[in-house]
Amino acid sequence: MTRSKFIQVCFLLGCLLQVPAALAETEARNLQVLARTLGFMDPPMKGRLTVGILYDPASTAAYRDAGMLLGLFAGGLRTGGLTLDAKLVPMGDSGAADVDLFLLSRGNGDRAAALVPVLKSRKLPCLTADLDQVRAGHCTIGLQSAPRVEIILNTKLAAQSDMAFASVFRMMVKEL
Amino acid sequence: MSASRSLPALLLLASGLANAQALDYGSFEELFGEPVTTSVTGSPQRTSAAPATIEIITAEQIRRSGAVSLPGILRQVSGIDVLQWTASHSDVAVRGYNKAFSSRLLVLVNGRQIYADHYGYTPWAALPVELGEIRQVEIVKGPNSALFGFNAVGGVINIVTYSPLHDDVDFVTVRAGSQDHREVSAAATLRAAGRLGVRLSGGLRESDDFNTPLSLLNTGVRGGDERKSARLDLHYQATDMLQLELEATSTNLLQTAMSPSYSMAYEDKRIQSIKGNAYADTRLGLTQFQAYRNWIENDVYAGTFNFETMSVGLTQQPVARFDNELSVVSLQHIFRPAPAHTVRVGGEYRESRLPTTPFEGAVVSYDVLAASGMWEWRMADALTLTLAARRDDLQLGRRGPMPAALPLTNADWDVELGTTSLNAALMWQVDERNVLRLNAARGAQLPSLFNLGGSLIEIVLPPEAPPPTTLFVMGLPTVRPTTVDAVELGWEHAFSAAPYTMHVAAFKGRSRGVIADSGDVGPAASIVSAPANIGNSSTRGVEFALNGRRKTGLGWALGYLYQQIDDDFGDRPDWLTYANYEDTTPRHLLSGSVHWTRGDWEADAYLSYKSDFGGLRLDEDFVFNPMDPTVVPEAFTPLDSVVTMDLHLGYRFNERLRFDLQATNLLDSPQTQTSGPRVERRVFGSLRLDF
Repeated sequence: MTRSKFIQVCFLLGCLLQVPAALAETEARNLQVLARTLGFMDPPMKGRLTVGILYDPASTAAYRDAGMLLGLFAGGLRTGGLTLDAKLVPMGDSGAADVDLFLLSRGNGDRAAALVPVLKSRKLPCLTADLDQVRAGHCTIGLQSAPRVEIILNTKLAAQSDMAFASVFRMMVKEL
Repeated sequence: MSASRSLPALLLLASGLANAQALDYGSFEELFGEPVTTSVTGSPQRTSAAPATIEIITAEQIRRSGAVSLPGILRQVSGIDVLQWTASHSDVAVRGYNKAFSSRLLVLVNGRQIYADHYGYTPWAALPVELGEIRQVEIVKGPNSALFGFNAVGGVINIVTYSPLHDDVDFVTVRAGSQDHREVSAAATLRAAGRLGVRLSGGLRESDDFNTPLSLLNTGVRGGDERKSARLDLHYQATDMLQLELEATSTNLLQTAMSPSYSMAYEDKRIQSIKGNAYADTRLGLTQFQAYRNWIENDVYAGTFNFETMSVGLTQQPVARFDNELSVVSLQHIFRPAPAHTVRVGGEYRESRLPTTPFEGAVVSYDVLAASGMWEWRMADALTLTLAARRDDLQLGRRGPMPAALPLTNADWDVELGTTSLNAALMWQVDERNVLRLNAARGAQLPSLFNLGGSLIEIVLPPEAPPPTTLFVMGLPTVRPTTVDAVELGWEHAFSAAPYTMHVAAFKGRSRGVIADSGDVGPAASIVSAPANIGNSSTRGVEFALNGRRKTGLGWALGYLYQQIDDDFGDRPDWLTYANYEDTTPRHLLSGSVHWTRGDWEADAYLSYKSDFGGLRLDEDFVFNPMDPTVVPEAFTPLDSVVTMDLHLGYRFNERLRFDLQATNLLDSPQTQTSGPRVERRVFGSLRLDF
């Protein structure tokens, strides 16, 4: 095991021990919605993809949420035509991280604004359960699974990062 | 199972989402955690976001029903009234106005009209679909003519089947039961290269009708029930953006039925259809093209009594023969010009024709050109306004011979009719658990082709009778569509303490120019009976539904409808019009159900109550005397309140094999449920093998 992998595992275990089970369950449901949403992209995302879980190292809340999310991806998540692996990406490394899409953790606040130029230049999707980040234009798709599923799409940022969705999907989500 | 461990398994269910250009109901239901529909505005929507009162019957609810027919299943839905006339003939109405051959409810299968234009009714027993291949039944309450056009004035029921491209549906069900019921139903799905899906399905059913007494007038009319049906669904994903669909159906049905004039008849129906769909999902939006043709041949026999042999039977030849063809071509495009706006524009052409009967050789037909549009505006995060309108321009026509004694010409049928239908809804998502909705609608119910002249009965009187000595009972081109205006205030509430949901709606409506199959005389003295717009009718009511499901495997539902109807049909008596909704619509409909699951066992109980109401029927002793037409029969029959109970008990042997025991009309047998013959208890045992 490499040193960085060892640190990630320690980090993950530490986070999971502190996460209430109900919250983990909610995040798990959010990830279900996330995976399904990727299938409605045009063209749909396929193959083995790496999810970059973004967090601001200066934020304890973001740090914990990112760790919990990483735990939910443990061992890789497979759908019919899609396998999702995940790794943690500090916000400052988003420009160079070798990932296929971003998952923005909660608790990053306005510091997530730094992500916008990266999304525009790298043409990568950004998904998050923090709906305010989508409303603020910092991330493209917001997902919430409880009490009812809500999906919001920032159309301006989606267009700027060359993201498109099936029309039938767009009809049923809230576009901003 | 922990959330993290269950996640990969759940994600596996999300496979096959790519290339979902047509509405893939299963994938979107998994995504949103609730069924989706296109039956309210034409645009794909989550049911919770649909701007109308809509109820969804799921495949599981169909399987767990105590009934084995769709009308029987619909009887368990709040606000729906079902009149069961015979073992296989039932009529269904949403929010009142039910009658024999109920005509205010538009029924579709995957968007294709099942409603029969020639007589303005739904042949429920001849539905070209097996219960096991139905994904969901969508019930939209209230007028929805701005999307569907004519006849969606009471509501719309759209039956959605599984997609052969996305859903594996492979089963064989064998069923046996009382009334010597024998049935087999099967479906098989084939897929190729991930782009082609084909499903073949079919069913055979034979049973006896009930064995309850019939009036002398209807003696001999029970010839046994039989249904043979076959169906093909082919879906082809031509490109990532284009999906093509082909559907072909054929159903043969023999059944005893109650006719709109409340005499019983034996029907031999042969119904075929073919339909093609194309869906294109592009950056410009969602475009749908649809074309289909329905053929309905219906031979109607009457019961006879042979005094010489003291035997009963059916007439050798049909007393009426209907041969209705309907062709529909439509195109619609849905797009979002801006994030808060969804727009649908559409056009439709339809042609429906019916040769006159029993007078042969002429054809009555109409062409309809329609344009429709819908605009949904999310005015604020929690406030959505939906406006929809549709314009239908109908050209009526007739060609072919006219009886010599009839003082009308084909030119009398050169009639143009135009109607405008509207639907408006304002939805306010008060918070995460409360939604308020205000609806206003205008719809139109078209006279059937039968009423527009397809019916033509020539009666030749003895020469000694006073002139005219040739009389006609017939449809006329002067009958106009009924206009229905309705308003509704609805409240949806999700309780926070438990997974309970509640729906309350108050509604009010007015029908102008209600159509009766008879009730008027024609423009000439020789036309002694003709359909007519007999007056107005208004209704108001409150509907309530409460559903709950607990993790312990216990679920329940409660539904209630209070409704009052006031008819203003002048002094026309019931015997003349066979239209009396004020006295034949029950004030109170109550339904309740309990559902229990443990391991491989399921048990369900359904109870429904209908308060005192009434029915119409022919006076058995009445014989029309043309020499003295002032002697009239009595038609109205008061009926006591009715309580019915259905049960279901299911056991799953393994993933592939299950047994179901279903029973209907359990409490009282035989039981008076309509003005027709009494109905009997029915018990069925079913074995289903999935492969």
